[in-house]
Amino acid sequence: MFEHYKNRMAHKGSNLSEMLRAQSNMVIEQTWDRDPNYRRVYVVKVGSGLPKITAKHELIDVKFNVDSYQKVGSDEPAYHLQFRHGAEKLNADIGVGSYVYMEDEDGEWKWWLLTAIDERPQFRQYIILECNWTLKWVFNNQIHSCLAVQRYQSSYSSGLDFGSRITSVDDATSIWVPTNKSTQTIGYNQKFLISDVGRIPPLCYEVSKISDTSPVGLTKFSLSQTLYNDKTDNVELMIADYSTSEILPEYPKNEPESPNTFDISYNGINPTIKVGGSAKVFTANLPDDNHFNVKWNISDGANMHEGTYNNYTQVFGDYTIVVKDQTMSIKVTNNYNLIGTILNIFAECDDGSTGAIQVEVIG
Amino acid sequence: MIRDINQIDDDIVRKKRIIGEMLYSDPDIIEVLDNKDIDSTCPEDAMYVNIYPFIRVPDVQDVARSYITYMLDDVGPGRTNSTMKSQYLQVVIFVHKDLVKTNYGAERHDLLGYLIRDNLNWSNVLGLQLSLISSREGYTDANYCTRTLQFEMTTPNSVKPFNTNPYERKSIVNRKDNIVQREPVGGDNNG
Repeated sequence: MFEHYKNRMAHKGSNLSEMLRAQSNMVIEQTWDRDPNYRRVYVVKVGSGLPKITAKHELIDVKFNVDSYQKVGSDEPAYHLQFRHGAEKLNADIGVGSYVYMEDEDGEWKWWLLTAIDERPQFRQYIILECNWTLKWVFNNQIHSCLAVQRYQSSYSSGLDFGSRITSVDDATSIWVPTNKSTQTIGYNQKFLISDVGRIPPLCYEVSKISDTSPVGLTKFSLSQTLYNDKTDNVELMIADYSTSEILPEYPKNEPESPNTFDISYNGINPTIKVGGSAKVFTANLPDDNHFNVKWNISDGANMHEGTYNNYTQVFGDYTIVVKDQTMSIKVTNNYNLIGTILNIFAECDDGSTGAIQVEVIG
Repeated sequence: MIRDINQIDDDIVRKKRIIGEMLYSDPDIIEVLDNKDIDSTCPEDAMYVNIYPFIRVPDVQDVARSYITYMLDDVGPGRTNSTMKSQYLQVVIFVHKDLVKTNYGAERHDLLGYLIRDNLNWSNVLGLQLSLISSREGYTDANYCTRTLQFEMTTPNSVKPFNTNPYERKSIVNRKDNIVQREPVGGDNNG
């Protein structure tokens, strides 16, 4: 009987502090939905791109608490989000850098970002900020986008260091995004258009400082203003450095590649060929190691070169084409009129699979 | 463009093209620039990445790099012979302090300076002989050290067999107000 009593007491805690916390947990659990702060939200961790609610996401109980109130001249206010005790262990998506999809009092669903953990003696809170900008940029000719939070950065008082001089920054803008594959492509000097609708030219910023470890899971970019370039920046899409190449960037393809297609790789950094430069070598990366013959067709928009399955060397206008096994090289003569030409290269394997790539002629 | 871009009648543009091709075609220069992204089979990728045909002071970066930048100046006709002019080619090498030390027993900016001098000094590749007149070491800020090579050459000062602008010369004979109808420069040089 005494042992049973001891076990019951031990379950409630080994000291008064543990008992009080256990009781408080019990009380808050019992009264969880008797509170105007009670909400049911989705939490989404994003690997790349914009967050989406899918069938695997479930509604999670939270309390939406005030951290600070809106003040004129300061940042958007932060709020606290409290999950039910133990919810983090059940849902791996909960953590700094995850998005929260929450309904406001008018029934409108909005995206928020978990930006920090406020560890307390009890009732851990997450600090959340409302996402107020969709950041778009181009990397490797692909358009990336991410829901972001804009902040003023009063702490960025050291300014920009130019070695011999330091410029101080007035109301430097900072932008916070979750750390993921997509946002890790943003480097120094990456340009963004961040401006209200209708402003011509739009306001243009570039990254001057990156911080991704305080806290881990969130990347904070400091931005300094830079010049709008109407030749390369796209104001309709609000994407900076959009048309730096004749081959316009694309949104990432979500559909899985067909088994009947293969990639074409090339030597060098970019899919470009310099006039009068060395030969660019393209390789058909066939899906298996069996040796197949590849036929290469090349079009420059006006003329079409139709290849054969044999190895050959042929001059096609200003281009010298050498086909050998699964590789094809193109050398462009020293004709500066060709700059800007886009070559569409199609490779066809004798098993029926195909590959394609666009290549720009540069000066 | 209505002009033939392959036959640009401007020695600065032509010479800058040649200098760029000369620099990236030297495998030792590509090796010493030490950018792992530049494939030796595609050295022209170094243009506008490590080699710039204008003076470009390195900006805020995430990767320390070495750069060769160059500019070409006309500095007026000769004092005694106005049909000749002096041209200065200035090559500025920027190397980040973390990359200065090499495995070749020479500092990277000095080594690049040597390779460029080896290619260009006393070379006739630009038509008339280049001669090195200065090679100065320097720095831009706490991060980059530089070497500036200056070459001089004496070259013809737009020597033409006529004393007017070719379009105006044409228009005296056959006046056309529309520039599109003008015949391009070159071809008929009989004055």
